[in-house]
Amino acid sequence: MNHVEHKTSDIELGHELNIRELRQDDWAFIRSCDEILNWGFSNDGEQFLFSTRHSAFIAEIHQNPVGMVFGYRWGRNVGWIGLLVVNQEFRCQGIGRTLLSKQVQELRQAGCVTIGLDSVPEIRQFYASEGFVRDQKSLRLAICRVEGTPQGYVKTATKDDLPEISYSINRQPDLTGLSY
Amino acid sequence: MGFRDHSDSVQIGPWISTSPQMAGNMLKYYFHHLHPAKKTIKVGALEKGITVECLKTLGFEEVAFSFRMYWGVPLQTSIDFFTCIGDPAKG
Repeated sequence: MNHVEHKTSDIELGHELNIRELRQDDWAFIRSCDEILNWGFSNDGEQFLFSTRHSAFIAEIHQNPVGMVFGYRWGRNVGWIGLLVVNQEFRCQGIGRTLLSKQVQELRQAGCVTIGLDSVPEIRQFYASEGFVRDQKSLRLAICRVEGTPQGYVKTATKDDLPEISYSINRQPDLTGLSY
Repeated sequence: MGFRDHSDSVQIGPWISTSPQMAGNMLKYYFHHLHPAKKTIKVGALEKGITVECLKTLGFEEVAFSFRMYWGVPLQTSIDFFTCIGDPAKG
């Protein structure tokens, strides 16, 4: 990942907004966002979030993190954006838009021709204003505990299973960047 | 592997199986071997995919939704990774 760091003036508040790459010492900020949102993403683990297939940026004002965005490359040309978060007190000031734009630019430069994301209904128009097109609903389903033991053969996958998994998916031939 | 791990629930995905029976076995595997302390499993699925009907057959219920959106070339399908597989030959 190229080291990219640029500065943008936030005219509305006069803050100096700095967009920089994620660092290991941002982990506390990530966890604080997760505690507020209760998304559970920080349990993905540092190894996953800091994998080489991720690109992640932090928005900071006076060296204090106020927002973040993650991007991920699937295979060679599909990118995915997630975890776009701005601290509540700094919202509606263009910080989220700046982070999104930065992540789109990063994924495009990495060769992505498709960039996807899942948007909560409340901010769908925000993404639309940045050129994202609605595809279909992404449903969240839940089930309470299922009793019984598995019948037949189920096992935990290992790296040795990756070639077969890749073949099964077919459209996703490169899974070598996965982390466990 | 559950990749959204809450105290009493876990979100899993992606989930690929060749039959509802295998999907049911994988579900039980998650509860009994990987996440014995979890009360709820959550999973995402696209509304127009065949997976939704399979999940409902297993007992899943819709609890929320978001909008999948894309920039550039239209999305063909969702692509994720998974860590638990069943053997089609063994059911």
